[in-house]
Amino acid sequence: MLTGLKGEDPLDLLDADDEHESLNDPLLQDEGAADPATVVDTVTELFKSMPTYHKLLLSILESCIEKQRISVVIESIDEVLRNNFSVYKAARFCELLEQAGALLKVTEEGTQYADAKAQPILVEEDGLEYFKANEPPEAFWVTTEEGRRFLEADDPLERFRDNLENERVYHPIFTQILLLCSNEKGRSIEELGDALDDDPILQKPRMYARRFVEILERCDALTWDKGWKTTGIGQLGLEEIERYDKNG
Amino acid sequence: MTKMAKKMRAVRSKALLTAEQQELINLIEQRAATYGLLSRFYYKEVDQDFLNELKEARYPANTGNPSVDKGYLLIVTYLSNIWENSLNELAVDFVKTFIGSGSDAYSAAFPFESVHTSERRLLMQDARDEVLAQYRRAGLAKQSLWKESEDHISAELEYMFILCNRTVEALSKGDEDEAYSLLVSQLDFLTDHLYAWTPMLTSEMRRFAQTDFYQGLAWLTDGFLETDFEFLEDIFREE
Repeated sequence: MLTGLKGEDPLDLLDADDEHESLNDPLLQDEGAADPATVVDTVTELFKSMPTYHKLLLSILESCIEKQRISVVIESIDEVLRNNFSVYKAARFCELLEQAGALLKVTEEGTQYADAKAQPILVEEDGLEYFKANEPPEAFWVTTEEGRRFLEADDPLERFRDNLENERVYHPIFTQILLLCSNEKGRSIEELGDALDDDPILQKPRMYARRFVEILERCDALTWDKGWKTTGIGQLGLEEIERYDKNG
Repeated sequence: MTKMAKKMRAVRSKALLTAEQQELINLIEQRAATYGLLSRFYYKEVDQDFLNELKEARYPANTGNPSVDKGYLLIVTYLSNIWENSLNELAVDFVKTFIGSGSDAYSAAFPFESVHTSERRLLMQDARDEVLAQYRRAGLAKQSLWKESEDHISAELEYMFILCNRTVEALSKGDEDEAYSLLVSQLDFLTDHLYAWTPMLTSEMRRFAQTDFYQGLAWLTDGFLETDFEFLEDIFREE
C-alpha cells in the first residue's frame, strides 16, 4: 500500500522542550492543424532561441527522417550530451521539436500517437475491481514535412558567412582558431585562451577566445570531441575568410 | 444507525469485539494511507521513485464516490501513457498549477488555506495561525527544511495522516478514550479547515492543470475528503 511519505513529510514531531521555536523555519501548446508556413517559422524560432543546440536539434531531425524508436533517439542524444553538459534532458529536445511542429510522435504503424492512448487495465482482487497502469504503446519520432524542409534549407556554410559579415574585425581570430584546431587531438579552451587572449584585437572591447569558439561551434565549423576540432565546414570556412578578405 | 457508527459506539462503551476493532483499525489505516498519498502529491513535484511507486500501485475502480473514481481513473490513465519526458511534463504542470508565473493572486491554484479564506487572498493569515496552534497542541512542528507555511494543503493532509496513525495506535493498545478523542479532532479539523477550503483549491486546479494527472488529483481530493467527512460524521451521528 502506498503511503507516499518516505521521509518527504512537511510536519515533524516537536521535542518536548522545543515548543515553539522549531517552527522558524517552455509551454505546451494545443495541437491543431497549423499552417505549414507558420510551422516553419516556429521551427526557425526554436533554432534561433537555442543557438548552442543547433547542431543537436538538426541531428535529431536528420535521424528521424525514417521513424525512429524514442528510446533509440534518446540514447543517441544522451551520447552527444555526455560531452556537453545541458540543463535539458534528452527527451525535452524532442518535445521542443514536437511543439514547434518539426517532429511527430507516431505509433509503429505510423499513426498519430495521440490517438493511440493506452487505457488502464481492470483487475479483480478479493471480489473488488481495481485499475492498474497499462504499458504505453511503443512510440516513435518521425520528422514532419516542415521539419524536413527546415533540414534541407539549413546551410552551415551560409551561417558561417553571415557571421563573417557581422564580425569582420575578428577574421584573424577565427582563422587562428580554425588553424590551431586543425590538428588530430584538437585544442582545449585553455590552450586557445593562452594563444589568443593577449591578441591586440581582443583588448578593446575586451573579449576572449571562448566567445569565438562558441560562434564557430554554432555554425558547425568546430566540434567538441575531447578537444575542439575544426570540421569540414571549418576548413571550407578558412577558404571563405581568405576569399572574403581578398575581395573586401 | 450505520455499521460504522455502531462500531464506534462499541469503542465508546468499551465493549468492542476484537474482529470489529480490527476492521475499524484496517479502515483507519486505509484512510491514513490515502491522506499520506495525497500529502505527497501536493508536497512537491513527482520524482522517479514516486512515479515508479504510482505505476506499480492498484487503484480502486468502484469506491461508490464518483469523484474518487474519476480521480483515480484520470491518474491511472496518465500513468498508462508515461514516456521519457513525463517527469519533466509533470514538473511543469506542478509549477503551472500551484505556483504560476503571474504577479496577482489569481494566476495559479495556490495550495494555502489562507489564500482561499482571506479577503485579499493573502498568505499567512488567520487560517495559518489556527492550524499552527493545532499542530503545536498535537506536538507537531514544520520540518525545518520545508519552507512553505503551515496551512499548505500538504501539511494539513499530513496532519490528518498523523492523527489517523495515532488513532490506530490507540485502538491497538486498547486506549478507546484516546482513539475517540483523536477521531473528534479529525472531524473538527476537516470541518474547520481541510474540507472547508479545498473545494476552492480543487476548482482552481481544474482550471490550471493541463495533465490528466493533476486534473485527477483535484477530483480525488474532492471525493476522498467528502467520503472521509461523511465517515467521521457517521461515527458521531446520534441515532
